[in-house]
Parts: sequence; structure tokens; C-alpha cells
Amino acid sequence: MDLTNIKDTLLSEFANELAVLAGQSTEVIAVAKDYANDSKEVYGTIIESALKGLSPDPAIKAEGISYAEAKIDLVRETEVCAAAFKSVEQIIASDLEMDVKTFAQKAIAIFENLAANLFVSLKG
Amino acid sequence: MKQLKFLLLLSISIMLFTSCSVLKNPLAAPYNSFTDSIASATNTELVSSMASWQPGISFQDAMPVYNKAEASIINLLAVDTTRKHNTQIVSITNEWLSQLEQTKSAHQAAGMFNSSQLAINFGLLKQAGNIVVTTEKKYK
Repeated sequence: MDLTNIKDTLLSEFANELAVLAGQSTEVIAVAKDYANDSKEVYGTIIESALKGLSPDPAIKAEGISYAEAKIDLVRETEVCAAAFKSVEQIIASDLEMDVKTFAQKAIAIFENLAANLFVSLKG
Repeated sequence: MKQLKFLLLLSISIMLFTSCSVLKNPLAAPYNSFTDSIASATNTELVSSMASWQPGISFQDAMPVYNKAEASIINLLAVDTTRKHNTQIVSITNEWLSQLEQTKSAHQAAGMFNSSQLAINFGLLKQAGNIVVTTEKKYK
């Protein structure tokens, strides 16, 4: 097994193990979907507004935003997405009736175990 | 002697039963109702105010809404910082405050918001508020 394969296998197996650790909670999945829908809507609004700003028609252009504004707004949306990710992390930890520290310790232990097994396969 | 042994076994069983994880969750406070109520009320008020704004809304007209929401989120942050395992919740609430301040600055710089600026800033604040309220409800 080469290093690229190890990286891909490690990441996909780690994701699977985390999903198991999260208990495949339908509540967490529903919240994540809700956040994803909100994000999709805001990204869509920013892109649509930037296109309006580029329109040669002054009436439409006045309703849009400049490219510079769109860039700033896309960065802002990315920051909100990062907050959504942290929220899901927090909910997973709560859902498991674990504190965040315990959850992180378990996740790190899983990762270390997977990595150790894969590196053994590299030596072979 | 037999009765004493039975009572001892019974009390050990009760202790084990009450300390098992099945009972832990219902007995624990599911969330902080105080921070949940601040977050929910602030989000509801901010979203309903912004939803009523028309394109062309001036900064002067919007400022009281921003200032009130800002004060509430700062209050929420002060309580959240005292909570157990607060890294994520504090970071999420800070992001909400940051989005509000960026909206306020953008509105002040523009003087008034056109329909796009209003829709984007409304979307960002609604999304950030939803994340905080949802986390507050689930956070233990």
C-alpha cells in the first residue's frame, strides 16, 4: 500500500468510525441538513446579487452588489459554515452523553489505532 | 441475618440502578434555559425586525435594532463563557456577534441597504442565529 492509499483509506475509515461513534443519530443528521440548506440559500443569494451587480441595466445593477462585496460576503458565509460545523460537533458530543473532551479522546484513539494499522501495512 | 443480607443486596442494586447511564440523561438538565431564552428571544426579534425592512432602509432606522441585539448577544457571551466545555458555544456565539457587527458596519458605510444587501445580511444573521439557538437547545 502506498502513502496516497494510506491517506485515503485512513480518512474514509476515520469518517466511518466517527459516524459509528456519533451513533448515526437522526437528530444530528437533521440539524446538519438544516444548516446545509441555510448555507445553500445564502450562497445562492450572494451569487445572484453579484450577477445583478454586473448587469448593464442600471435598474437591475442598483439592486445588485459589486464583486468586492460578494467576495467579502462569501468569506462571511464560510465563517458561518465553520460555526455550523462546530455546532454539529457539540451536538454529537451531547448526543453521545459524553463531554467534548471524552469525545475528542475517543476520536483521537480511533485515529491513532487506524493509522498504526495502516503504517504496519506500509512496512510490509 | 438473612433479612439484613437481603436489605444490603437491595440497597446495592438500587445504587447501581440509579447510577446507570439510562437514568443519567433524564435527570441531567438538558440545557441552560437562561441562555436558551436569551438566544431565542434575540434571534426572533432580530429576524422579525429585519424581515419587515424594505429595500432602502437607512442605517439610522436600523441602528436601534442592531444595538439591542448586540447588547443581548454580549450578555449571552458573558454567561456562555462560564459554562462547562464552552469552547464551541463561545466560538459560535462570537461568530453571531461578528456577523451582526459586520452587518452594522456595512449598513453604516452604505447609508442604506438595497434589496441584495438586505437579503444577504438577513440570510447571514438568520443562519448564524439559527446555529446559536439550535446549539443552545442541544448543548449539555
